[in-house]
Amino acid sequence: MAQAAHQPHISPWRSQWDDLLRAFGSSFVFGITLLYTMEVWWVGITAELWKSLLFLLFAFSVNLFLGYYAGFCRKKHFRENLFHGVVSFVIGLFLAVICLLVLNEVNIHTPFETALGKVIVMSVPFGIGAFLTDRIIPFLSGRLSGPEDENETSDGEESSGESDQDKFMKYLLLDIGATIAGGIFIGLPISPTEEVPMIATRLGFWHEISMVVLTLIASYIIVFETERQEDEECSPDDPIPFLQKPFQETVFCYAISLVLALILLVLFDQVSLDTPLPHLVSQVLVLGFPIAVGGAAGRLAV
Amino acid sequence: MNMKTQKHDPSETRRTGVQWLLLLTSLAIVLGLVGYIAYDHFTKGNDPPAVMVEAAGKPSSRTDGTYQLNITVRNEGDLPAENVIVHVSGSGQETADVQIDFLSGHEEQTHTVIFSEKPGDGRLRYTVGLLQP
Repeated sequence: MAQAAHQPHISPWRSQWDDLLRAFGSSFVFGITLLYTMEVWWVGITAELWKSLLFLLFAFSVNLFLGYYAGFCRKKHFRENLFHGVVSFVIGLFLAVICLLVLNEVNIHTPFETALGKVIVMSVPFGIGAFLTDRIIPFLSGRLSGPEDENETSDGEESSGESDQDKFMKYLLLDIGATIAGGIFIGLPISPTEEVPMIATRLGFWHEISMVVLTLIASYIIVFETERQEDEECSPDDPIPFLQKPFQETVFCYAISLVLALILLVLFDQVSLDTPLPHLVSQVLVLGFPIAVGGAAGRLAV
Repeated sequence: MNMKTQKHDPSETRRTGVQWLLLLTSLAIVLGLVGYIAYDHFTKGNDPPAVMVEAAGKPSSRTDGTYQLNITVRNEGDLPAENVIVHVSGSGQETADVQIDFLSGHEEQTHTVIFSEKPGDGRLRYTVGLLQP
């Protein structure tokens, strides 16, 4: 790859920030399904705190072991590995707190020990996701799309006569298809579950607004902040289609995710014409979150 | 997608009517949803769940000699109710329970209970238990 020649100088702070964002993206993709599993919350409620902490310590140790081979940074020295293990652990805790607050599974009325138990248990999948960034992100964007990349190259050579309009339509359809495919992959097992109406019932106004914001941020990070190396391969001469710019694509694909969420809810009889509109909207938002994260992972793959 | 980057010259972008239409439709969906949430929040009341139960029609006999009765369960409050349990007492000592996981504000559901003896219309009694989320 000739990318090194094009790479601009990146400050260590910027590089660290990019690593953190990549870790957040990976963490979302890895942890989202378990976030929508009520048994995981119950473990946080019923398990004694020392057991939860022991579980966390075990997961952390496994992370460190795995991290020797795959961290969210490509540096493999033990001290840096340990450092990244701790950072992944903090990212996991941070995302667990944010997500549980947004889902109203933790609030000011939750007893401290219960909240701590839920956060500890939920932080494990998020932490593993963060720690395995260098495996998850390349897996999504590299290995899965490897053969397509080859095709893309040959397509590119063959279709050099494609008009801009044709290219835009191609990328547009790719985005739509990938969002739906990724959204179904993550959303299908969640949509028939009781967690969706349960969470929706418990959401207040600020939770719903926060969920919209969190979904948009998560989608943006997964698609636009995890692939900096690939981005840098782009030639500055390539025009970006209007709908593939960060803001436009994030909003566009979120709207697709919401529509897909509604379709899945109808298909699985979670909502019907008799469902009051506020409850229906809440359920669409709740299911829209994992679908949008899955959709973003899908777009990363193509 | 590999071609997503923020480093390109904006003047290079191509904007077509279809793309604008899709973006505006998407914005309308997302902002419409947010707007509706805000509207619902600022206009709806804050009454706690109030679950009402009533018979929907008269008991009807079944082929196996039992009787079925449809009941309507309605949450007249603004806030949702969780784990609603309706205890229906028919004639005599016979009772039937209906469990509803979630009943949102102003939602109405119809359920069926079955008795071995014909439940008397006037003597039906309902007891309700619920959890306020």
